[in-house]
Amino acid sequence: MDISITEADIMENFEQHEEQKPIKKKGSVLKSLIGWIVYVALLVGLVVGTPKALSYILKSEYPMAAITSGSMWPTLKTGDMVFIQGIQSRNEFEVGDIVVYKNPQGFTIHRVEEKQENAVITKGDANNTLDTPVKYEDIIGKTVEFQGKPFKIPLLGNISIMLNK
Amino acid sequence: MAKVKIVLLGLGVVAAIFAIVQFINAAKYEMVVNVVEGENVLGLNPTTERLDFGDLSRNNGIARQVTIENGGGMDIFVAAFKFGELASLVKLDRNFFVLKPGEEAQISLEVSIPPSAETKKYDGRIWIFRLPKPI
Repeated sequence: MDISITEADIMENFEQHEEQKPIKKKGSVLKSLIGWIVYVALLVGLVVGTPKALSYILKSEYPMAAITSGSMWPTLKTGDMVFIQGIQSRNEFEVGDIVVYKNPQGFTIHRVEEKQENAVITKGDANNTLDTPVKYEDIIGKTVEFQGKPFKIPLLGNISIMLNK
Repeated sequence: MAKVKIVLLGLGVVAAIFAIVQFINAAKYEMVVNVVEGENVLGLNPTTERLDFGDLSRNNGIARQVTIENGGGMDIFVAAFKFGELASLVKLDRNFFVLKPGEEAQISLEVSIPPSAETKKYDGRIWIFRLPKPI
């Protein structure tokens, strides 16, 4: 079989090769750009959407909380991130549950020691004394539990603590 | 693009070497406390190779000191990081501070045993980094 390559063939081949190069570059740049846009959109969606989705699922205005003190040690440690299930009535929590309540200083997460007629007695596991009685309406939620223990993400709460500083 | 990659790779290697050197140079201590039954039980066990807080009963505390010295010719930045189960119970009186050449400083580590502690041995680690202070 005879093969003859002319100068015109070489030039045509060269031109085709030269033409393909920029097209390939444009395609890869566009692909990369789309990849980045999708990545950023997913990230923004996660950051903004996760608390909103959790707020809806857990029926809580404050679905996540960072532990800022060691008063519940060793159950909850400083820097832990916990999830809060909203509470609408006094029957939705029991003695032994870990609840979140509002107080003049902000929020406190402590364990329920006793349910009285008009107030709830709470205490931090690592504290020696009981807290000031808490009104039922000040209790906003209880920690989400998994296998009988509060579901927590260690260290993640440090980000929130650092941002608040 | 290739040049950028080489520069980034170079920076990464330098950062990794810096981190390894700082890790080797850091003062690393093992911390341990033995929580025992009873009231006001305090049995000090002073050892030099590790920070042993000895036997302690609940609602008790004890402090031990670590001395940091700057024997070099430039300012250093001291940063301590705690790890492990005992880390939550140990409080440092100072952290993240600058030490001038020839200066010496003491960091006090105070362990407090809360009523919720179990009677067992708790351990942890503390790494004290001495980083060159940026000018």
